[in-house]
Amino acid sequence: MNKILALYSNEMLKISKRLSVWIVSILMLVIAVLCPIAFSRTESSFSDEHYDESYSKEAFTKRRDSLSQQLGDTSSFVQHSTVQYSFNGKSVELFSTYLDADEETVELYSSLTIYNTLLSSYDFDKYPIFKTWLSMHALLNYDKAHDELCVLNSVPFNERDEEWFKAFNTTSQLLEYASSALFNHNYQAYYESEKINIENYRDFYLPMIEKIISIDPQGELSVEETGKLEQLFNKIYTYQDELEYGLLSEGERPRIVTSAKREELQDTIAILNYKFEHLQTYQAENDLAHSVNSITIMLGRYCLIIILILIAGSSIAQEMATGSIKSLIIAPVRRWKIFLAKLLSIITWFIAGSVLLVGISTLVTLAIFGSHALPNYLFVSGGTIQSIPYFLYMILHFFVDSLPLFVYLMIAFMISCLTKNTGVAVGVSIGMVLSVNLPSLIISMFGEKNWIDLLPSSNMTITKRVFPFADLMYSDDLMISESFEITSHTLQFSLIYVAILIFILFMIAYDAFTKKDIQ
Amino acid sequence: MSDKEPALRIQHITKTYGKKTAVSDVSFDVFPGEVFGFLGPNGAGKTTIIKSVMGFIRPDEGTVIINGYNTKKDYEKAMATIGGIVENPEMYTNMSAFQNLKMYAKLHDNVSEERIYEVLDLVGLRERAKDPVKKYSLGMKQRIGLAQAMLHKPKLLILDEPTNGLDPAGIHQLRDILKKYAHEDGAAVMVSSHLLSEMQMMCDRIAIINHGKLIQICSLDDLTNQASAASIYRIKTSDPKKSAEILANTFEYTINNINETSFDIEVDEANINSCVRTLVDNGSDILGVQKVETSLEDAFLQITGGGIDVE
Repeated sequence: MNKILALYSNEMLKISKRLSVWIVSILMLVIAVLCPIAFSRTESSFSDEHYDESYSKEAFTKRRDSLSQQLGDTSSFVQHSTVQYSFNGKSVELFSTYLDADEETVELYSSLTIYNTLLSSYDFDKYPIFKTWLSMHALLNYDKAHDELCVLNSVPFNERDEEWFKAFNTTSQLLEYASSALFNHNYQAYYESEKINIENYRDFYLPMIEKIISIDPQGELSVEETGKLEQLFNKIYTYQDELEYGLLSEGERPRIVTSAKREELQDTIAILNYKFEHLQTYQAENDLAHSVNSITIMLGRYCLIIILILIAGSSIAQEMATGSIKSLIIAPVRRWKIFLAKLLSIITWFIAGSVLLVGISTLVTLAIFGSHALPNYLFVSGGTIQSIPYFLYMILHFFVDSLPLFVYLMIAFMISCLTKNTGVAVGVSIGMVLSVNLPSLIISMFGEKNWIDLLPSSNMTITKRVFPFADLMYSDDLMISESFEITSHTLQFSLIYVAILIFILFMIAYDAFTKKDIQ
Repeated sequence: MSDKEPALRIQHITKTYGKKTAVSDVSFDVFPGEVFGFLGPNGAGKTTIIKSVMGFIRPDEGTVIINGYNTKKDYEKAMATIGGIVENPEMYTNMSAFQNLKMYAKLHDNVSEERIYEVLDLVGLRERAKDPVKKYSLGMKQRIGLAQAMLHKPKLLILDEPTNGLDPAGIHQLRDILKKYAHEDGAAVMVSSHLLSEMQMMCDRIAIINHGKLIQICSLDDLTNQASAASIYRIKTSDPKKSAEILANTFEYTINNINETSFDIEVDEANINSCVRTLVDNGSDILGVQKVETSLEDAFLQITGGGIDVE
């Protein structure tokens, strides 16, 4: 064990003495730092939530004044009287209003009354109207109910029948709830008003309001935020529909929900519900931050690939070519220890490079966009929602995403063991990185989908299957990908496939190196 | 010498590359306290044997026992007691000599930093120890190779063509170091070369190898005796066949290569005169007497004649 450690530290020292490794490493770090900065510069900054001036007290006063000027003396068409109504066979006496005017005047009168009421009784300072979704929507309902009531009141006393009375009763009730919702900022009253408001009675609307009240009982959320919650709820509703009817509506044509997809849908719904409850709605800024970070890491990864293939491809071949391998062979260490130390040193650079790249890129993104922009990864395990912190997720995601890279490294290492030629080892491996999807493309041209599933390239890309809910971190949707990644095989199959592949490469390299005659 | 346990025991080593047999059934021992020469022309199989000992290649047959450890069973223990240079010493050229030695030292137990300076002093490279090896001359690389080989005080030191690239002063110094290491420190030192002169100056015993076969092992004294005793003279006479007959009847010297103009006789300098006189007395016309310059290989084959058994 001590020998392996000594060999390993020697290997690390040798790699660290290589100029090419340092040049590409520095390039990688420069990309990790500069890329997020460059991307964030090109995007215009996000405007703050704007506060609509037309809903201020001053604006209402102005409108009230101009309206009252336009209408002049309202007493000329407003009549009050106590009228007898018959309702359910009983006779009821009611204090009523009759508006003796045309439709337009009635509408204007309704607005004027609303403005007057708002200006006399509404607490603009405490609940600025455009500030919260509740105020906005309560006002809309109040306005609508009031308008309807005025229209009802424009029916002459003698034409008011039982039907009218029913309508009047309902609208009064609605107005009462809407008014309570508006003036007392009461969500529950708003909910009751929506219950009466038949037009809004879409099948998912009331459950949605119920759900929003459960997380925002005080009605403090803005129009925008609640709007996003609405979108989110909408999405959950769609997925629930898909689950219920067993058909996927997205994509080019409807597809049957398979049992695997069913599970994924259930989990998606659970995660979206969790996001809903924790107010993790879609934020364009977060989306951008994550995109910037992802693109930076992708670019940096190319540098890392070059570094690692340089190291792996030359690790044995170069020592063979220059003859420096002799000082290792003469040393009292068995060959497999040399082999292992070299492999470990490559893996160490792989891990260190990955952590460094993801770490720096994420930190710079964090510095530019703020920590709130980087949410956790959510997944379902044993029926409960689990979360992985953003940074840890990015690292794990990087490693899973780099599984093909690891296979290429093993190939480079294997060729390095088989030949004295560093150029061949590095060249072949980089060629493989560049043409990874070529076999799939060629086969897909002939339409034999079954074959593609058995290719290494189809089984090395497992990111989507390991992190199926990655899209949900930033969006309410699971993107439907038609790429090569969707194979008919399970994750377990692919993992075993890749494990066997790596083992074969390892054994070829091991056998070649340990049995080789050093000339 | 044979009462000591050998530092290196090679038994029936055979190695073939395809159809070509590089080494065929070679066995010999090297003992502590001696400088053992390994002599043969280029391509004779010296390096193949050394590589088999050092773990570079696996012999097809045979065993190698180093200081009592069989390399097949106790590889690391065996290799811990051996140091050496195979062909050219190769270092990590972008690192300094000191770094190279330090990396090598880590692979051995109990090699201190002082020891690194000690061997650097021994080969006279302490001043240049911090320079990258790529700036070194071939001679300096040889020296640092020697320093590396001796770093862990191996009981068996094997050097393949160690004088390559060394200047005369360097060769002299190397000889002194190796002799001292064997005779005073009691280690076994094995040196290969294709130059007899080099061997003569430092070795106690010499093994001669050619075409993958061990021809002979003898002490340096035997060798010098034989070498000085037997020279080959080419005598041109009008009738070489008859002249050779006369000499064969008179003396017991070995006679070879009888052709139409001359024959070769193996005889020491002191006795050539009596040979010539005998011929003259018996009526041969002597046209010329010439001492034959032979190639190294010929010389050794001539000297040994395959007459002495391998022990």
